[in-house]
Amino acid sequence: MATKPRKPKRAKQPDIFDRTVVYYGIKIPPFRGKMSPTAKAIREALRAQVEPTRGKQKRA
Amino acid sequence: MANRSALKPPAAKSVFINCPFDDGFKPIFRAIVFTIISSGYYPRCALDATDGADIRVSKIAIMIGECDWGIHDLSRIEVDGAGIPRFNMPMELGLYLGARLLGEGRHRKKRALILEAERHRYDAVLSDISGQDIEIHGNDPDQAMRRVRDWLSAHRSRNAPPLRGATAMQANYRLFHTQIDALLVDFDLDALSELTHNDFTFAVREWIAKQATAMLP
Repeated sequence: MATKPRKPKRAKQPDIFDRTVVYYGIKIPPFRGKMSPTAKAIREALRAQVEPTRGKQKRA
Repeated sequence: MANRSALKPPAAKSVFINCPFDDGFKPIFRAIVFTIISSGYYPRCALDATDGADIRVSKIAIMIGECDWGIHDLSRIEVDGAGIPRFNMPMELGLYLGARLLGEGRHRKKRALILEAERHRYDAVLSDISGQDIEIHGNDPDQAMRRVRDWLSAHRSRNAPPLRGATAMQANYRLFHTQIDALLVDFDLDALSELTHNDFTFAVREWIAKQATAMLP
């Protein structure tokens, strides 16, 4: 029996903090350095500020 | 796969910062770093490798080779309490100009911005640099941001989008300070002024990413 061709997986969109973002028309590249525990905490805090807003918008 | 964080930024987007790293100069230094990141470039300086100011000249030379842009602040070359002037900044400027004059290929296109606190003071101490792009910041972080922004803007390619105005960048920098300081307090972390150079650079970039995301439809 012929196997069903697998549906190609869509490439996972990289995290906004890991990819180039466009801010007022300017491409801002991601940080390229070692991330310290403080840096990780800053990232998670900023992520928490972005993500709840999106969740609320979906529920509304 | 190569570790993303280990990748070197492209030279065409890298700005070498040659300035003092003491607490007194930090407000200007950090304003410059913010402007560079907001303009889509990578700030590079001796603190990338270590958070102490003790770095070998060979490492600085390698970094200069990796940057097509250079900002050199000569506002703090005055004599210190012991009556000794600071020669690090003029020496690194000399290395940078040497790379441009004697290097090959890409190095010949290196661009340099020289910052001073007072107009024409450099004439008295380093007259050989007359004729370069020399701008005055008057020891004011806002003015330093404006000078750096205008210099980067003046040398952008014709098809590149315009950079935001200096006034908008300055307002953004104040907003960044307010928001990140509040976040650091919430998480019981050191204040922004106490963050290491790498953590500060990281905070700027991540904050901009957050702002950009908030603007998405």
